[in-house]
Amino acid sequence: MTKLTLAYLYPREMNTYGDRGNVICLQKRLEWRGYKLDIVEHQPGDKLPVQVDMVFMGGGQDSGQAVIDTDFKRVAPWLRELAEANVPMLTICGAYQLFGHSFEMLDGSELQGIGILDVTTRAQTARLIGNLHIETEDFGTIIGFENHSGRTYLGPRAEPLGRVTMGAGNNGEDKTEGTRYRNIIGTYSHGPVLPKNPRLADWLIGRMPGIMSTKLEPLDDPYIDAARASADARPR
Amino acid sequence: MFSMRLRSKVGVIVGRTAARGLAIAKRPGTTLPGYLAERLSATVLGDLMRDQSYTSKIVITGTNGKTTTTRLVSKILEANGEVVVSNLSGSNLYRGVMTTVLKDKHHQQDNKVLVLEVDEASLPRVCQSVRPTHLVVLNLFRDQLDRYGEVSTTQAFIQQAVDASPKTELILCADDPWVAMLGRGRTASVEYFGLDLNDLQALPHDDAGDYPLSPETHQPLIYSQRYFSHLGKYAAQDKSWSRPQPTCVVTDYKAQSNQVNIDITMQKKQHKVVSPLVGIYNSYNIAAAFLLSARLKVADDTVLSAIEQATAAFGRQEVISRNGVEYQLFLIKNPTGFNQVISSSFRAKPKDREGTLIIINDNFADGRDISWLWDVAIEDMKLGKQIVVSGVRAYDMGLRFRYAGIDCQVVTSIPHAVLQVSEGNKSVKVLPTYTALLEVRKLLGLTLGDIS
Repeated sequence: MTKLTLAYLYPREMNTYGDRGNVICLQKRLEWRGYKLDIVEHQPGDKLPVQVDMVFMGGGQDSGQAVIDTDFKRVAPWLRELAEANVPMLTICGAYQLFGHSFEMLDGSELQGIGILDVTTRAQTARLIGNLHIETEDFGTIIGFENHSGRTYLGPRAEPLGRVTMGAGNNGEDKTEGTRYRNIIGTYSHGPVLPKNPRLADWLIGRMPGIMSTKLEPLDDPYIDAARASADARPR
Repeated sequence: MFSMRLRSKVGVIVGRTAARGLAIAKRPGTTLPGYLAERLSATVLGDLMRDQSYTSKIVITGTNGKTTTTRLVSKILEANGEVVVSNLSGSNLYRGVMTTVLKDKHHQQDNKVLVLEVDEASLPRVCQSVRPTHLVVLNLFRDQLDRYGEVSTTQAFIQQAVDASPKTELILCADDPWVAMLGRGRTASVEYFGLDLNDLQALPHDDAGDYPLSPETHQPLIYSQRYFSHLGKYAAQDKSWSRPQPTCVVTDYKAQSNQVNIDITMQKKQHKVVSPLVGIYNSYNIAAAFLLSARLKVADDTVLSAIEQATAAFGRQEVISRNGVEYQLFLIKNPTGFNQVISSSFRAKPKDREGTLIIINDNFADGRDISWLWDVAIEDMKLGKQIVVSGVRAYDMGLRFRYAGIDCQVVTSIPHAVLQVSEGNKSVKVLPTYTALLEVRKLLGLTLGDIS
């Protein structure tokens, strides 16, 4: 059985709103196709894994983001290298913000990001909470749930992940949601995002270095269409 | 000032009239009277409290266990001969609390106590008006994040209430760092309860904890033992802060299917406690009630016999028999609550002909966000053959089971799902979200009025 490796950054501090479900989803979708996905949980202070096929980091509470800050700056050069090598990454909410240039706090002070994604975020008091639907070119409609107080703005080099059809998305102003750079996805979508959006999950899998040359078998996906339809019918 | 008092008086009269009207119409009315009174005067609860005299005013808050602990405390104080005024229907927002005080008919009683369960976000306002003599904080878990945001936000609500109540005696959970930090800097009037169980371990897939930093130096907390979620024995990396020493400690826990035997040690004295409230989470509730009762100087024997008789609250391990099938209801609201149901009731091999029904609704009262299902240790559940999932978001639960490698049937309609899971089974464990619980109880022939 071919073995692949996913680096799960800060599972204790950066996992809220069921973001771990994305890792469960990737692991199972690979397992059903005859691959084994090893999950390396990276905690502050840990040695970095030598070879990875994907990186995942979820959203966290403010206290969690403070704990990882120093370690995250330490691993930033490694992440930049992987990014340029087209390793797929999924970053949700707090992770999406930290992968950007900066996060401006309410008191005007600035938290530095690692600048892999060309986005900046500003804190606001009112949270943007509710069901979130976005239209994308490569992954169809993405159905999720957002819950964030940061407003994220795309820089000149940034491409949005999609266009909001329900909800607020990046900032509630310009109808954009998330961003894409090489094989990296940044998004505010919890839900978690991958189980109900298998096109996105399989796109990420297809870009893992250990898989790339192989054609992915389509999977029998019971419940997904019905789960998407029931989520689609719910109010904001 | 005069006009405010007058407005409050009018508010009280309108509220009480509404309560009587609803009672005549046989409607529950747990919030409407309070709502009407509040519309007429913003200070009505505070003014009402000045008119009433309670020997103790107890407020119980925390994410999980409020209803059960309120019930335990009420039973103990009733057994002690006190007149208990309480919001036992679980209407725990500001208006529900006001309705409870409005409806209090025991004006002239002098041995009257107020026992309130209060929602975390309503706590600052309630404490300001009620000025509790005792405040019990059970735990803080991620719950309805779509309404309040993060655990730290909820903690801030409670901290605000605590800071504004310097004379209130605090009863706090030592094992939950979010709760324990509320007692910092408080030299008098704070007591802790907790567990000291060497064999207890968290579920393998329990990832639902939220870990705060040490409030002293903002260092991460290191756990020498973790009971579940972020509850356990912890200390900051630099030892600047650690779990406070509890005065009331659960030192032994043995569970059977419908009863637990626990030892509670307090001031070097060991008490043998028997209770129908199964589950480690209920041992925390029992310890909290025990410690509070000791502070209120209730005799040990009275406390122990009242605990032994206090059955589960509405929808919490509640057993209903219908048409030869025994249904046990477990309300699920958040990942830690769900994980605790798994720990206490889904770790042993299931009984012969036992079905499981999980119902997920996402109505406002349930919380719109169902992401939390993925924070639940579904992979650790030991299940029988028949697993049915239902509710508005049945397919999301179906998907969660599929990704855990467990087969289930999806029946979105709740009545059909109940029929399906009852077919050929002797017992059924039902795990509904809040609005689904109300529907299931109705289907099984129970209403809100059946709460005893």
